[in-house]
Amino acid sequence: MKRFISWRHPARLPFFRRDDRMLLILMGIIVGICSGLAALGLNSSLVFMLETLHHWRHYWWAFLLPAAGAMLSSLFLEKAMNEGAGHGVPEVIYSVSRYGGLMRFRSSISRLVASCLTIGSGGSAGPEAPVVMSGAAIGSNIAKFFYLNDRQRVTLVGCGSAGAIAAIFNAPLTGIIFTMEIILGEWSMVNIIPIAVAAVSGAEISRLLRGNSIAFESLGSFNIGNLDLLACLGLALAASMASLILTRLLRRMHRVSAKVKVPLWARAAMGGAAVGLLGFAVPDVLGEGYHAIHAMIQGVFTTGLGIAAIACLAKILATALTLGWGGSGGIFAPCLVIGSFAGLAYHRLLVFLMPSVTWVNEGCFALLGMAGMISGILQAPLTGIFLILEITGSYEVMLALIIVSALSTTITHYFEPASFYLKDLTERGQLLRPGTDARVLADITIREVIERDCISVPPGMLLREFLYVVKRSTRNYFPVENPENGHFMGMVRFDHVRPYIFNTVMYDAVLVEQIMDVDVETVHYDDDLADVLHKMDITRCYSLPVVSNHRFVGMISKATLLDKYRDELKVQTTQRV
Amino acid sequence: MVDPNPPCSKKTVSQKFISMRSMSVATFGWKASAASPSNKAYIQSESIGFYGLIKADRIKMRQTLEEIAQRLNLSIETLDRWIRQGRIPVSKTGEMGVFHEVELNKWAAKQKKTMAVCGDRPGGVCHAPEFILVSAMESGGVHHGITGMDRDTVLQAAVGQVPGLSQGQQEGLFAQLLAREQLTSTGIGQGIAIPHPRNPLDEGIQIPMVVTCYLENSVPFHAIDDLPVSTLFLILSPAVACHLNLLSRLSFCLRDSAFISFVKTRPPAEALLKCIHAKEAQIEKKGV
Repeated sequence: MKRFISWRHPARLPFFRRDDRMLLILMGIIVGICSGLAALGLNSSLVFMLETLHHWRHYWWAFLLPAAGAMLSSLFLEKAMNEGAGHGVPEVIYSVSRYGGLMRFRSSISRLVASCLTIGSGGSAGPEAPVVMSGAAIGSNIAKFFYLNDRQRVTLVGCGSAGAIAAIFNAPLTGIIFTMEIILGEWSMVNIIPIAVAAVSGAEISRLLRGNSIAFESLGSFNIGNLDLLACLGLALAASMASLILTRLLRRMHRVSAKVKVPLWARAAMGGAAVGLLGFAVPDVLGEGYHAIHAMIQGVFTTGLGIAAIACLAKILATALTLGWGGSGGIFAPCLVIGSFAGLAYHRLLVFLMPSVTWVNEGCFALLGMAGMISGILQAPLTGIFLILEITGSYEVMLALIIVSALSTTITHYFEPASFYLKDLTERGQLLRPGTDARVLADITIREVIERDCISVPPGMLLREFLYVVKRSTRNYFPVENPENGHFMGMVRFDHVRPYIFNTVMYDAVLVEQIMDVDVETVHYDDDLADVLHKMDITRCYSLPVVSNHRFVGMISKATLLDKYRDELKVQTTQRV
Repeated sequence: MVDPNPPCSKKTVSQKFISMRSMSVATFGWKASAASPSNKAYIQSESIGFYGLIKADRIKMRQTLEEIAQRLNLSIETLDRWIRQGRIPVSKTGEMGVFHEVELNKWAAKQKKTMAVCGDRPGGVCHAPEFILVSAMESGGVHHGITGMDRDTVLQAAVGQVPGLSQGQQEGLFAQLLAREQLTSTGIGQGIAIPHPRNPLDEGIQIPMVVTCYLENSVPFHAIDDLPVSTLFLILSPAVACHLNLLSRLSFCLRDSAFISFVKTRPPAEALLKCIHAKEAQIEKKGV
């Protein structure tokens, strides 16, 4: 019987039970391939939609296309999938940190379809975050199918997102770095290897089906001079300003759209229509915008300084309108477009101000602008650097790339302490990176730290009898319970009795109810330990009673908590190598 | 606590050959361990190496989650969560935890997790203190007609009544009792003395004992009320905690003047123990 079902319990095989690394690597390959296929599927359907809708673009009512797309995607997510709009990366991060990477199966397709509708119809958003969510959900469900434990599941979720990023950009290294830096938030040997394998298999699938091409290859190489490096400082500033504007505008749009009292799908449609109208003026803002990046990197984008600057701002506005009003999609591709517009505009400005200086090709600045923008928005400098390196294949700009990425991250961090993906999580207190205080407290439940060896006393007990109880007890706290219904009434602390211990006259004169604390702070089974500790700090107590359904169940004390806290911290931070 | 590895590993050698061909042994093992969950660790034989090379760390162990939690000094909820999260090298099959002994020990060492100490700490807690005085008096025995002219000779005679002591141990005990008497007399008044050594004896005393000795004739004992002593309660215990417990209970009894006059009548063992039992029941109730 046991052997019969063992293929679905691979972790129970003696070979994998000792050391599951090989198992994770094998699973990583499967997950990488699946999520790579999902990414390619989205990519192909986007291309298909673009081609289908292309014929109608020149009609006057074309601005309704993005509106229809955004509306359909919102309806699909809300009614059919019962999920919220957005790009999904915060959901993945939260699920990884709180639920061991548990995700619903439908998440693996919901964002794909929704973002395909939004982007394919012309909405300004990116397909990357949706494929990350989809890959992560695929990894999670494969882990669930094979009954893997939470740690292994988290690794497979990472594998899924790495495979997706690797496949969609044909950039395996970026897949690894993105997953480590943003999704998992920790660098551990146990995770890196399966994730690397998944990234490789995702990229390999992409190469097999689409051919091995660099996404935005430049014509010729860039020779960066010292003056160009100096100019990078200004570029970093420009990129971080653009990312700040985008972040703020997105949030503002969220707030404004929340005030409009119409159904979600109608909101999405309004945003989509606005984007469509904007598209009449600046056609480059529509869709994911990779075509524009191509042109800019290759230096064949012909517009002047003013147009480039306006296009940059228009793209920011279009992205905020799409995502802020309920469209579905990621921020990655718009960032790349905005960054390259910003880089291009900056280059034009330099040429305009100092026409006599020989600057490097404008494609190089567009490329650096992308890196600055990605690093600024995501506050993940490594992801920015490696993504640009891999999608442009321009390794000679490495130095400038590092400068721009690092500076842009720093400047943006100064104004926006949390990155775009983590901002909501941080505000809700849901950012629980491994090994942090918040994570340790979130993992320990009250049931684990509760102490049940307290002796309850009735309120009518005499001090003399109570002192016998004190002698028997090992604790300093005594819950008082109503003898009729067992309800919790209050607490007697040993401190309350201390003044009367040696006064025999009081023994038969004082009742427990006279010395008990009536309005005690209590905690419940389901409370978060962080809240419990906060309560303890406010009331300056070292122990609080746990009361469930009006009944006393035990005490929580800081002393025991420290013990468990250390155990948990050690378990979380000791890496199994 | 169970230390399952060394005694069981021999057993598996013979089991292994049976189970190489037939699954029934493994199934039997499953049932046996499930039927008696509190049973000692059971070694599942199926995971033994193909060539019959038995390495200790390849042997799979089964224990109930309670046992593992107790052994690692964890709460069962924490253990359950850690298994679910894959933070501990134990996997769950129904209510049983499956693990490799050596691997789990290695893990515990890495976490610097102290394994629960088995048995009593030296001088530590005294287990099962319910009716400890009665059982101590029972094992010490009640002895009539102890003769002697002065304190030292009656102590010598009383030491001779302690069951299960060798000649050397008797001498050691006597020396310790004398040393204690030098400090202050253990005569607590009204003709009663409770001689005892200052520190628990190194050997010879496995269980707490109170040796009751009725003296043939009263002897001067430098007691606090200067009355001669006619009854000795010689208190011997393996640990200080036990000693204090016995002393506290005995002194509770001796606070009652009715009890003292009852002792003065030199009651036989059964009557004395019955009386002590009644007294101790009072203590248990009140938690004195």
